[in-house]
Amino acid sequence: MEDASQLAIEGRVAEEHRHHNVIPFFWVWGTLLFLTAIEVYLGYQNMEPSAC
Amino acid sequence: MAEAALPHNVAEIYEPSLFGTYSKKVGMWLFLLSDSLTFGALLYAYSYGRISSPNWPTPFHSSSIVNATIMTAFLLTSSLTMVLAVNAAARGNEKARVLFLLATMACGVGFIVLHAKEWSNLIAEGLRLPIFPAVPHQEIASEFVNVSKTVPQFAATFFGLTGMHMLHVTLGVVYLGVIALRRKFIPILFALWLVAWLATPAYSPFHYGAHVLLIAALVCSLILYLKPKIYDAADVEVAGLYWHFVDLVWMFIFPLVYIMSTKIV
Repeated sequence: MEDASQLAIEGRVAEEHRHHNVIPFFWVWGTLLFLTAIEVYLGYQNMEPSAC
Repeated sequence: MAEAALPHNVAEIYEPSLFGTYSKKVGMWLFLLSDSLTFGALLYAYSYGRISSPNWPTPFHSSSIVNATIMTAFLLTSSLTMVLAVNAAARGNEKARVLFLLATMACGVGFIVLHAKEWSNLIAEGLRLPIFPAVPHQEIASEFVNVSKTVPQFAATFFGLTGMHMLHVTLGVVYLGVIALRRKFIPILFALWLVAWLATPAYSPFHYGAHVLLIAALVCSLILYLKPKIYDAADVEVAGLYWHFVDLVWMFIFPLVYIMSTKIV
C-alpha cells in the first residue's frame, strides 16, 4: 500500500519541477565547461615551469 | 471485510515525512551522505600521500589531461541531460524523459570508456597494483615501473580513488537504464557484460571488473521481478540526485589527481 501523503508530496515536487525554466540549466552547463577550460589552462601554466 | 480492515486515515497513522519531502528522496540523501564519507576518506588518503611523500610522481602527460578534460565534459553534459530528463518526467513527456535518460547514459558510457582507456595505457606503461594480473611478454622501460616500486601509495590511491568513482558511474548508468527502460534493459545489460568480459584480455583488470555488470543484471532482475512498477517523476529525480553526486565527486578528483599531477613535455 502506497502512503497517500507520500504520493501527495511527490505530486507537489513534480509540480514545482514542471514550472522550472530550462534555460538556466544551459547557462550553468556552459559556465561549468568554461570554468573547466580555465582550470585546465591554469593547470598547464602552473605546472610547466617546475616540470620542465 | 478486507476493505474494513484498511485504515482510512492513512496520513494520520504514518509519521510526518522527514524534511517535508518524500521518503525515497530522504533515503537517497542519506545514502549520498554516507557515500561522501567514503570518497572523503579516499580523497584524504590521496592528498595525505601526496603531501607526505617528497617523491610523489607527476606522471600525467598532456594526452592524459586532454583525455581527462573530455571525460569531464562528458560528465558535465550528462548532468545537463539529467536535469532535462527530470524536467521532462515532471511534465509527463515520456518520450523526452527516455531520450534524455539515454543521452545521460551515453555520456556516462563515454566517460567509462575513456577512463578504461586511460587505465589501460597506464597499466601498459607499468603503473600497477600487486593484485593486477601480470601482462605477458611485457618489457617496460617507463618511469611508472619505478613509481610503482618507490611510491606504492600513488598506484594504490590513484586506482582506489578513480576505480571507486568508475564503479559509481557504471552503477549509475545501470540505475538510469532501469529507470528508463525497466525490464527491457536487463537483456541489454547481460549483453554488455558478455561483450565487456569477452572483449578484454585475461590480464586486464576489466576482464574481472566486467562481472560488476553481471551482478548488477542479476540484482536488477530480482528487483524488477519483486517490484515491477512504472517509474515516475519522483524516481527520475532521485536517480538524478545520485548522478549529480557522482558528477560532483569527479569535480574534486579531476583537479586533485590530474591537474595537480601534470607533466608537460
